[in-house]
Formats: sequence, C-alpha cells, structure tokens
Amino acid sequence: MTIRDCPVGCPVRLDDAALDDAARLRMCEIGLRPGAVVRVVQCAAFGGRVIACGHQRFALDAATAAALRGTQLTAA
Amino acid sequence: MARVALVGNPNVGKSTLFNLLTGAWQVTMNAPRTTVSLEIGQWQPGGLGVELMDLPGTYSLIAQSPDEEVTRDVVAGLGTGILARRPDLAMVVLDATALSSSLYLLAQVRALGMPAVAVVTMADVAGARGLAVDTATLAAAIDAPVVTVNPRGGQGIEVLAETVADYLMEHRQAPDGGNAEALVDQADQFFDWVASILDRAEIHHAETVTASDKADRLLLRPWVGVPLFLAVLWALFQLTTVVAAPLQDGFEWVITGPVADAAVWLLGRAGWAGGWLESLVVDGVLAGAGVVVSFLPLMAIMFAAIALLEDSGYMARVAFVADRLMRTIALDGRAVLPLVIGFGCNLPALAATRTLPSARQRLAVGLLIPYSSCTARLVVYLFVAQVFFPRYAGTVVFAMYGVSVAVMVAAGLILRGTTVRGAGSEPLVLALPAYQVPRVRALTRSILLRCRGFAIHAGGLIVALTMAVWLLMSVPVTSGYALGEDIPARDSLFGATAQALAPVFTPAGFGDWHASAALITGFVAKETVVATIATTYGMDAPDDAGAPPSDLGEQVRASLLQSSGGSPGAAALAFMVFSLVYTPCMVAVSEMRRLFGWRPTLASVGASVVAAWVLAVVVFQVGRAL
Repeated sequence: MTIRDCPVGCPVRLDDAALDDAARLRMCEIGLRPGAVVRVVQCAAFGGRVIACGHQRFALDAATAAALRGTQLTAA
Repeated sequence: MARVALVGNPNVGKSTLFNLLTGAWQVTMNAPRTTVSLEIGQWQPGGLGVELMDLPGTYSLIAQSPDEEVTRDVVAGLGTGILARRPDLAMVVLDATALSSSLYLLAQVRALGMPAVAVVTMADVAGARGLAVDTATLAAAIDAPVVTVNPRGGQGIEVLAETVADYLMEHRQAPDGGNAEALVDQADQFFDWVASILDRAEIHHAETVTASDKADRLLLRPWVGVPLFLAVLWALFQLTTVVAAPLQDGFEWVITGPVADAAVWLLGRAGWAGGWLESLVVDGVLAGAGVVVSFLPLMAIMFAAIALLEDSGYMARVAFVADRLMRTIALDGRAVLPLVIGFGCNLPALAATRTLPSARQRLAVGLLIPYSSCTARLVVYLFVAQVFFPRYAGTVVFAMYGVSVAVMVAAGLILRGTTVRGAGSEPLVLALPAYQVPRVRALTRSILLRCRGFAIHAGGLIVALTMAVWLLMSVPVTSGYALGEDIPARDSLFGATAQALAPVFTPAGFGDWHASAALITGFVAKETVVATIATTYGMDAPDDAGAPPSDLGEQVRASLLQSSGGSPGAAALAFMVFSLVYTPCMVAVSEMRRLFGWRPTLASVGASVVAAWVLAVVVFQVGRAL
C-alpha cells in the first residue's frame, strides 16, 4: 500500500519510494529509509499527508505520499 | 582569529543561536558568485577572538541546491573568495527531537576531516515528549564534545563558549581537507552509524501523540487549514498597510519636521541660510533619510510577523497548505506570503523572501514581487481612471489588479524555465517543527538586527538616489535661475530630461513630457506620480482619494488627446499598465540590491522597464484599433 492509501494512525513499515535517485537519497538522509516505521497523523488539503517518524513530523504532498510504499503492521 | 562554522539541519535554532552569540557584531553577505546569503559575526568565547559563520541549513553535504553547495564547500574547504579559508571547527547543531537526521549530518562533517562540537537544541521540546538526551552518553558514543543549549532562552551558552575555547586553545592547526564526492558512497555506512549511536545512547522513539499533533489535527484539516491560512494572509496585509501607515507618517514627520527645522537653524547660524547647501541638506539628504526612517516601522512590523510565524512553527504549515497553489509557477508554498504582502508594499514583501528555503526560490520570488500592485500604485490608477473613465473607474482599477496577477503568473512561468528550472516537480517532504510559544527576547533581538541591516545597507543607496533626484530638480537649464532655487519643473534639468525621454513613449500614446516626468519621480516613490503631474502643470496635487481638480483633469485629457493622436482612453490605459509594470520605487530597488546583489537587481529593473514599455505599446495600439 502507499502512504496516501494508509488510514490515519496505522503504522506502516516503509519498503521503497518510487522517486528519482536524488529524491530517494534525500528521503533516506532525513530518516525515511526502508525499514523505518511511520504512521499517518493527518490528512490535509489537496491529498497531502502528515506522517510521524519517531518524534519527527513530515508533510508530504499528494504525489510524494502516493510514491511511498510500505507494509501495514496493524489495523488502524 | 579562529573561524568557526555553524552547521545544522533547517529549523533547528541555528540562526537564533548565531544571533545570541554574536549580538550586533554581524554582517550579512552573499557567498561569492551566488545569491546565497550567509551571516558572519564576531564572538569571544573565553576571551578568544572567533569569526563565527552561520551557514545555510542543510540535511546533507551531498548538495542538491546552491545553498547546500555553499555549506558543503565551506566545510570541505572548497570555498572561494572570503570563504576560501576553511573553518577551524564546526559547531554542528543537533535537534534533540530529530537526532537521526542531525547525526547523519554530523557524520558527514567529520568524514570531511572537520573537527566538530555537537550542540543539542530543542531539548525542552524533546523532554516534554519524554525523550531525554543524556549528553555525557551521547558524547561518549560520538566521541566528540556535546553541549545542550537553549538558543531561545540563552541557557548553556557559557558551557558552549568554554568548550569551544578549550578546543581552539588545544588545536591550533587547520583541519585536513576531505573528499566531498565520496560522501555518496558512504551514505549507507553513515545510516548504520546513526542507528548504532541511537542504540548506544538509548534514544528510542516512542509512539506518542503530541500537543502539536493535536493542533495540526485542527489547523491542517482541509476545511480549516485553508481558511486559517487565508486569514493569516489577510492579517499580514492589514499589518503592512493599515497598521503601518500612521507609524510611517509619524517617523517621517520627525525627520522632515523638527530635524529639518533644526538643520535649517544650524545652517542659518553658520551663514548658509537659503542657499543651495540648505536645499541639498533639507530636500536631498534629510528627505532621503526621512524615507529610510519612515520605512523602519513597516519593516519592524514585517520582521516581527515573520519571526512570530517562524518561531511558533506555523510557517512550515503555511508552506504545506499553499504548496499546491504555488507549485503551478514552480515556487515553494511559502512564496505566497511575500507575493500577497507585495500588494500592500513591495519593500516588506522583499524582506519576507528570507522565509524561503533556497536562494533560487528567494531570487525567483524577489523578481516577481515588483509586479504585485502595491497601494502606492493605486493612487495612480484612481487618478487616471477618474479623469478618463469616470463612469467605470472602479472596474478599471479592479482590472489593474487582474493585470498585476496575470503579469506575475506570466513572469513566474518564464522563471520556471530559467531561474527555478526543474522546481515544482520536486517531491514535497517538509519537516514540521513542533509548535512553540515565541520568546520575546529572541524575537526582539532578531527584529532589531534586521532593521539595522536595512537601515545601513539599503539606506545609503536610498539617500544617494534622493540626492540624485534633488540634483535633477535643482539644476536650471534656462537663464534667470540659480542652483538650488525653487525652479519650475520645465526649466530644470529634471524637466529637460523628461522632455528628452517623452518621444520614447510616443508608440504607447503618452509621449508627453508631463507623463514622462511623472514616471521619473515614480521611480523614487509611486506616491509622487500624481503630485508630479500636478506640479508640471503648475497646479496643486489632488486629494488622497485621487479626485483631480477639474482644471487638472482637463489639462491631462488635452495632453493625452494630443500625444495619442485622438485616442486618450487607450493612452490612459497604457500609462496605467506602464505604471504597474515598470520598476518599483527606489526603496524596493535598494532592498533588492541588498538581498540579491547588483546583477539580479539591474536585470530585474531592465526587464521590468522593457516589459512595461512593450505591454503599454500593445495596450495602446490594440485599444486605438478597437
């Protein structure tokens, strides 16, 4: 599933990101690496998402949220 | 003198720490051959003289923007010009709530052979979330000094000064250079190192719902976030127009009233009363100083509003909410703030570009701001519309704002293919800082420093330009007048220049010296355009609402009827379009020069004048044909 499809509050283990190499590297550098557990904390306007990764919060636009793929760990 | 660089992720309190350490002893400059700004200041830890550099915030030294390239080059010893000398030490700021990305940057800094002292910030926010960072354990894990500091309150500054002084006393040798290109291959290794440090320091992420999460549930909700964002924009607009205007008038009065009176009295006592020197001092130097001083309260209000938005954490939410809108012209969501503020006044709008995260974005927005129709231009529209289109004046004025937005979008689309090429297609991944209560002391310090920077660096050019205009108006070109006398506009060098310039506007229908004279003073301040028109006809200026005396209206109509060959309405529209698009006032130009340097400023001025002329000619020629 993608982060865009993920319900609020549901933990997801990141698998990969369908982005170009530079963007994927930057995601890893800020902590959004394969294996990292994130959860959606807010659905925003225009399809954007706010995700939590540990104590950090990241805002993603709709396209980026749809490009991040992961595995759902538990039901919401 | 030792050189120390402040390095860190964006929004970790790095600049607040820099302001705290250096106080007023700092200058803002652009990195050589770039529009990337950085601050350099003086600091004296333990009595040692240190040159402290606040480098652009970055998540990585694998640079993906000009700002990040500057940070990488300084740390790697690849800088040029004033940045050629490599720092002796890096103070790497670690966000206690985001140690993973902070430690990754620290690993890169050290991989380049740069010794580092780690400065932990946001410890209070982390503590409130139950995340305690034990500095001793962390220091042992990373094998480097670690100091916890609160830049907003000043706690920990003495320990930091002591730690840095001790290091610099013991290590006098400049660090070896490192290979920045190898950082890409080392990324995975650094990720593993960060994970091991977090384990050793027993820093584990708990799944908590924070107060900021609860606030965001409301403030970022689709049907709340957008209206709230619009309300913030409205409030900013009101602050920079309605609230600032009386303060500006009061500040200017002090200079042009009591200070000018005192200068006249002093010159009189020295035997210089009534001559060209008095005219130069009062109408040149003090008039320019009055302009600078009058803008100080406006700038202070703008800087305070921006600092509040940033310090509270809401600015990052603005970027998120407006991202979709601004992406159409390849700009960051935060660009919407300066662009909207520009409709009040271009000057604070230019100052607000500092909220943008990259030099390219700041420059692109800075180039668009002059096309946002400030309230000073409104006076021109009202006057011209009431003279030429009295029955449709409101509609014509409204249409000018539509033209302003259309020109900004068109210019934005052009920039998308040039200055910000490739932007707008990048993924938005924005770290959202926790909401915090702004600290008055840190805010006040930031506002004072920025106002001082404006007064010193833009003020000099403003006074120089005011004196140049004084010279044009004070030099007679006909006999019977002396330098500095009250010369009729037509008989001054100013009038001669306007007459020489008038034929340039013949294709736009307003090739008349009264119009070109008004446009020349419009460069000084758009507010003076209508007053200049009245002066050149030897009449009093219209009232504030732009309602012209009937005689003045008749004379202006007669002039444009003649210059346009019988199409005064089309010429009037062309004049309004030219007034909208051509160079903003000298204060805005001075601020552009301060922020971006001479080349982009001159390019902007040249492009706007050419665009204004072309659009005015098109409007007139099409209007005449209809």
